[in-house]
Amino acid sequence: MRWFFFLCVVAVVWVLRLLLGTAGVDADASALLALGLLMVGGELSGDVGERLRVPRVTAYLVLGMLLGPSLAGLITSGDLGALRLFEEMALGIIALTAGGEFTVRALARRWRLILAVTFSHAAGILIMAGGTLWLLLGAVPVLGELSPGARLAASALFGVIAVAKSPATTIAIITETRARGDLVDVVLGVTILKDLMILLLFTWVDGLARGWVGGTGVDAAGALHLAAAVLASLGVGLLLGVVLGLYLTHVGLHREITVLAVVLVSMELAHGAGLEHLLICMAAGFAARNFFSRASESFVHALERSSPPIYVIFFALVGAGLDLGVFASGWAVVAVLVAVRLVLIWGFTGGVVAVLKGPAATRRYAWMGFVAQAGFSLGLAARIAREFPSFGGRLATLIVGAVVVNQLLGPILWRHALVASGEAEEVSK
Amino acid sequence: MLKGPLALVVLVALALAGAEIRRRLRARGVGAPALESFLFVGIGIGLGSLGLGMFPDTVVLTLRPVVLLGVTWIGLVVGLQLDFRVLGRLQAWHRWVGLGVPAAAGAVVAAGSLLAGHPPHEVVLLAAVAMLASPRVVLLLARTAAPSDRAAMRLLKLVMALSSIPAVVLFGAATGLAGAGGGSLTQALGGGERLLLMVGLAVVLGYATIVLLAGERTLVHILAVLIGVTALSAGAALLLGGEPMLMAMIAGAVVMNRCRFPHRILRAAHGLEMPMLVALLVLLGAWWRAEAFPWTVLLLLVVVRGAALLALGWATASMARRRGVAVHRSDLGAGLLPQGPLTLAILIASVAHGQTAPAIGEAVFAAMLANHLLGWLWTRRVLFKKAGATGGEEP
Repeated sequence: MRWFFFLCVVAVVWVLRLLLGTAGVDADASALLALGLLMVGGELSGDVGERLRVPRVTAYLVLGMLLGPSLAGLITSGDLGALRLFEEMALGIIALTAGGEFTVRALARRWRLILAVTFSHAAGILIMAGGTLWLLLGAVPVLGELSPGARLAASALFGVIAVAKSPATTIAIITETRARGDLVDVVLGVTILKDLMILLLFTWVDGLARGWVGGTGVDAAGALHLAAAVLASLGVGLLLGVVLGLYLTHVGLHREITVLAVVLVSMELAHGAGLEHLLICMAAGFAARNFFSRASESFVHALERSSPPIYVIFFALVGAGLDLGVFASGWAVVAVLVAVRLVLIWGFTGGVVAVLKGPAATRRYAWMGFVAQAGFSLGLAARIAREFPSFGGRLATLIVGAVVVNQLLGPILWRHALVASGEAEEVSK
Repeated sequence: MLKGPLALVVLVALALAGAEIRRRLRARGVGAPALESFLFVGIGIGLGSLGLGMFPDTVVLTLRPVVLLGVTWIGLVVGLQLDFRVLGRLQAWHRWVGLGVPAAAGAVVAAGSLLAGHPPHEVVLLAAVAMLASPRVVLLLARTAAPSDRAAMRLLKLVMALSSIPAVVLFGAATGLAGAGGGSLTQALGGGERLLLMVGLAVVLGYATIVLLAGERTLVHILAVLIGVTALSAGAALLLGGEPMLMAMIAGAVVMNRCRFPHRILRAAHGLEMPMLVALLVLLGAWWRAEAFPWTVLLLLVVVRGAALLALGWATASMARRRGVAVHRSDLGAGLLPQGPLTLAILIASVAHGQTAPAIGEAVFAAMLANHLLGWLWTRRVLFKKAGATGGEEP
């Protein structure tokens, strides 16, 4: 019965779209229709996901893919642009949750492991994934005829993207399963640190790559500017977190609105001052949780209350934004690259934890928390396509294909890891 | 102008100071005239281009999807309060009073604005605004003082509870009939046909909500479906060139009257009403441009509306006495003067549709503020015994 009524709603939207056409249609109205479809469908698909023992976020992603421009077309590319505001708001709340989940105590206990895993990924995966593409390009010219410099540049850029992961997916599954423990602390710590690192790494490699291709050379000023932006984002985020903590401690009214206000201010700062929205929110969440013991409980509660609809919006929009046609055209190369990345993540994570004598569950399962890739990787791919016209478009196509697979596989693996390690509270209950 | 984090720090400092002042005033027994809604608009003005400059004055149009979602949500909440079973149990003359008093006040203001030469969409806005009365002042006063006339209080509450129906229906129907957006379908269909189509879709969405939420007890999941239905209502109504508030109100009314356990849905919807309203009110404040507004609007909404309500209050009291209800006060219309969040929501919906010039919007806002303060002073004087008296009525 529930599916019958949802299909009725889908049919109504389809008929409206068909009758009204695309010319002269109110873009905001179309976007709201798309948002409604995703929210209502997200709830249903989440329930189906639970029944199939698949994470809810994977179900939201699949729904987005089904309704998105690649398949049914009930959500248009224009809608995705118009709903970017909601997507950014959702990302901000997810980042606040990430910061709020991370406590100084956990960081102090596992700092050596977190640093070692992060740096092993940043160096090892970058070099070896990039090296794999470099070898592959020698055998199969998937990016066309390339000069040695361009081949090196493409490989290095792919290496950086292979290091990147989706913090939103990690947080969403932790929230969904209410997981707590060593595994969560380590994966969360690496996720946050990697997020800081990947921005710097990409700018550095991007500058080098432009020099190799024969362009403008290493953009030292740009790299410095980005490093300053990262530091400024962290500083501003901490300040916002202190303000939020003070408000929650002394006033405490309308907590959800206050959290949303912090996210909106972060968005405004990110657009206006060139700061990083994700980092600001992460730092704010960290400060509010760790510096204000009286406020931390209400802060976490406010985030938990607002998280399920936020996850539906974010992941369904990510799913709708994935270009499935890209995957269909180069699936064999994509499959090799995905497999190599999986092996590298498994090897480096397990190896480092074993060397540092970390907990057995972390050694066995932590790698599964680093598989998912989403909006951030797609954003970097779009930038590569823009900056390297000779090969960027085709490389971005490969990256998008790999992101599709990783984003479908990642949440399932990470949920399995949390359940198998016994840290998932909801599932064990 | 202050930007970014500094502005937020100032805002939070103001909120902290405000909370402290309110706490001290309350400790000394000094009540406030339920001005929170206007306070949020004030914060919006402070954050807007006239103040700290965080939001430009085009912010309502830039964030139009958010504004429309908020306005539609309020329509849904109004619909979720329309329990026809309760309406059916009322005596016939109660129904007439409840719906007729606001409708008559709206008609008087509409006639006045037509005579003053306002265009049709402004006439509709002014009439809808004139119909609405906020119960916040009366409920707040009833917490600390006993009503001097309990029968008059009951009649007042009745009119306040029902005033949203004619106001939203008038505003929604007029927007729907005049709607020009939507594309080929809206051009092919007449206003009446589009209204009919909208009502049909709203009924389908209402039933879909009931089925989708059957057995659902988790608040966040109920909220997620309600947000989805609200967004669908807003999108479909706009595509058909109609008013999202009306469509959501109809869907909400279907849920309230056809669902077996609608109250948990109503509670969930109420939970998000305040955040939505706050966001809308702050945005409305940011839209403020301090333009010279037409005094005729202020005159119509304060003087003409006030006079009409007092006359209607007197007529209602006379009618009640003829039916053997012991109403002692004839100036119970004073209790209908205060205006609140729903009035502001209709104003911001009109702004989001691009139908209201800033000068008109600001005049309407000024009139609402004047009505609210006048209503608070007058109601406290004529309808309540001395503050602190025992026997205060529970809101």
